[in-house]
Amino acid sequence: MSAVATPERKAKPELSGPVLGMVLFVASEAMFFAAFFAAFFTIKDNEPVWPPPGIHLEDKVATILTVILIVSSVTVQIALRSMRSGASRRAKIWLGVTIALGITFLALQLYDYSQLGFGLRDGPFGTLFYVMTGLHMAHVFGGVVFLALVFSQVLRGRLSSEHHDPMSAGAIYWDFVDVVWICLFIVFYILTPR
Amino acid sequence: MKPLSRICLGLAIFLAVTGTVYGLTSHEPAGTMLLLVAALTFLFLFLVFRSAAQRSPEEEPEEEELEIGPTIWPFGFALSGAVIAIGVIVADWIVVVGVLGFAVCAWGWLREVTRSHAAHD
Repeated sequence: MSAVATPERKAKPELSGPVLGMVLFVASEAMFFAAFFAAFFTIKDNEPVWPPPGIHLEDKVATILTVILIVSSVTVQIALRSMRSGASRRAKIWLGVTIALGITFLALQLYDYSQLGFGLRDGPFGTLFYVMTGLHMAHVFGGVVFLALVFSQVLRGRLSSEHHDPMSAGAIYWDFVDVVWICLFIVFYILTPR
Repeated sequence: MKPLSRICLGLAIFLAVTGTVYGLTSHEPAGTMLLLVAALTFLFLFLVFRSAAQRSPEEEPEEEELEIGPTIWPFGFALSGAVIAIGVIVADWIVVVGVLGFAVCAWGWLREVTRSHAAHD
C-alpha cells in the first residue's frame, strides 16, 4: 500500500469506464422513462375523466415507499463516501442497509399492488400505472442485484479507497432509480385527483 | 472532457429553449416533456463531464485501459427485452421466455466482464 501518493496522483484523470458507462446508461434510461411519462400525459389529456371512476389510489404505502427510497439514496452515498475515505467496514454496513431498504421497497410495493382495486387491463390508467411502476420496480430489482454484487466485492476486499468504481456506478444508478420514483409519486399520487 | 462538457451544455440550453417554446406554442405535453427531459439529461451529462474535467490534471499521461472485446451478450440482452415487450402484449409465457433470456444474458455478460477484469488485473 502506497502512502506517499500526492493529491494530484490520487485524483483520477478522467471518468473511469464503469462510471462513464453508467452515466450514459442512466441518460438513456431517463429518455426511456420520459417516453412513458409523455404517453401518460398525452392519454390523460384525451380522457374525459381522469382517473376513471372506480379507481382510487391510496397514498399511505406510496409515501412510505418514497421515504424508503430517499433514505436508501442517503445510505448509498454514505457507503460511497466511507469507501472513498478508506472506511470499508462502514461502507459495508451502509451498503447492506441500502440493499435491505431496496428489498423492503420491493416487498412493500408488491403488498401495495395486492391491495389495489384495479388491474393491468382496467383501462389506460391501470395499464399506465402498472407498466410505469412495474418497470420502475424492475429497475429497483436490478439495482438491488447490482448493489449485492458490489457488496460481495466489498466483502472480498476487492474495493478500496482508490478502486471503488463499481460502487460509484451503483450509487449513480440507485440515485437515478430514486429520482424516477419521486417523479412517479408526483404524477400518480399528487397530480392525479382523488 | 472539457469540449465534451461544453457540447453537452450547449445541447442542454438548446433543448431547454426549444422545449419551452414548443410547449408554449403547441400546448402538446408529450413533445414538450421529451424535449425538457432531454435538456435535463444533457445538463446531467454536462455536470458529470465538467466535474471530471476539473478533477483531471492538464497533462496526465494516458493510463492503460481495460479492453473488452466484441461480445454477443448485449445483443441477446436487447433481444430478450424485445421478447418481454412482445410478451406483455401477446402472451404471458413469452414474458417468461424473455425474462429467462434476460437473466442468462445478464449472467453471461457479467461473467465475460469479470473475466476481462481478472485477465487485466
